[in-house]
Amino acid sequence: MTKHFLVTASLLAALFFVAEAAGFGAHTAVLSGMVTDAPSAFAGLVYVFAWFGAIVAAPIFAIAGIVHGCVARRY
Amino acid sequence: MMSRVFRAVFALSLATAIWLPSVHLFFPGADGDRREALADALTKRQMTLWASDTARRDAVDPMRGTNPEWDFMGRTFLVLALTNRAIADPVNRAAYLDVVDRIIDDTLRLERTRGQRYFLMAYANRAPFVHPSGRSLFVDGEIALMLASRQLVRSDPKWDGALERRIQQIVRQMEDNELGIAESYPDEAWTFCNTAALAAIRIADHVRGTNHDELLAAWVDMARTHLVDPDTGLLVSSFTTTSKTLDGPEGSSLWTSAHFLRFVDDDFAQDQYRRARAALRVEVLGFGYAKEWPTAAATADVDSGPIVPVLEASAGSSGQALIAAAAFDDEDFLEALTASLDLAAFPIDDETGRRYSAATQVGDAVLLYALSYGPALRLVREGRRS
Repeated sequence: MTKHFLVTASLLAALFFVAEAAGFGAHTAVLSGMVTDAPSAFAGLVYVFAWFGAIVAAPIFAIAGIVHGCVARRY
Repeated sequence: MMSRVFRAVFALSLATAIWLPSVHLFFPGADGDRREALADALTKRQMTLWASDTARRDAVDPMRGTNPEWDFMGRTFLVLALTNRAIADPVNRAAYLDVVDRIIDDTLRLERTRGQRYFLMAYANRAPFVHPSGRSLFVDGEIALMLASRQLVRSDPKWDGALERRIQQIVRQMEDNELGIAESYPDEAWTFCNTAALAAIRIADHVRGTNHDELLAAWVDMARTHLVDPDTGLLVSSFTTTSKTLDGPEGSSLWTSAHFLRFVDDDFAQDQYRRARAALRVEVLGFGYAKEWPTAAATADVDSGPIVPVLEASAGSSGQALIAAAAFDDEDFLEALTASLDLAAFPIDDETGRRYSAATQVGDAVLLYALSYGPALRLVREGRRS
């Protein structure tokens, strides 16, 4: 389980770096309701998902991995 | 097996409890020096847009496609921001006024050649206006506000006639209505537009030496009687020319209306802000945002902007809350709101300055106005000129 947590954290972080490198961040105007073409809207939503994945979820999984590793070793 | 599941759940729960309260440490919000640096970067970007027709079209045309009002309001808020900055910063005053004059020139040209409906949503054509002039207070009020604010900084004879005619038009429209209400769309009046017009009249009185105190006081009395929602004590958002409520209190209208009222009746303004703050402000884990409605009964519309499910966070209301938080010296809320911008509005910094991808030009102008707020109100209150 420790490994699963850490791999998930890494994948979420990697998704953000891919979205950033692909320039999807420029399409986040989708949140304003101004973007009407589907590819831009898709790219924007992927970026938003990746951003919050990296900021919120990835650190939680990383910390959980560390906590789980310590607990599993002790008990 | 049980102990494996328990260990996983325990680890995830503890990690969540550690991380979520810590996220805001990476998004501290704008206070002190950071606030001034942010305002400078936003100013640079907004002034760049008015130096290039192409850049401005790229920023504004998609916005107009969604709502032409945003184009117009983006102009108003930018003029309000730059005139406040011009009062506070004599060194750069001429540069700020140069952009302000270009905005006003262009806005008046478009109104003259394309009509007021160029800045209105299509439903302006659904019926005739009740007032025989057929004019929209949304347009007249904000143009008057732009002109009055510009003249407040440094009076230019070029704008004297335009300001006088615009104020006369607004006053006539209000006085022709039994209750003092002026409409923005056919038989549809907005608290936002009426209070913006009142603020314009107040600033114009200061600039031109005229006096409309009686009209301003009568409007506030009327609003206390006819436009206050009985459940919340908050001003409703839109109403007919006979004061029948169309939309109840909405953050996207209320926050800025309360701030406009500071020019007219500070006690009423402070009371509205306190009530709006209690009903609409939310702060979670160091991040601030505003709800659009006091109760979760309505659905998102063009004014509220997107609403985040569960949290009920409204982009439109949160943006306008920035102005109110600044206007009512609510430092904690302003800091929490700007922290949310950095978390969820996707700032972009480049050689043109700063913009927020999810905010659009009008959102950036609103933020810049919030960060620049204060000098104009102080001048009017103290009866001084810059």
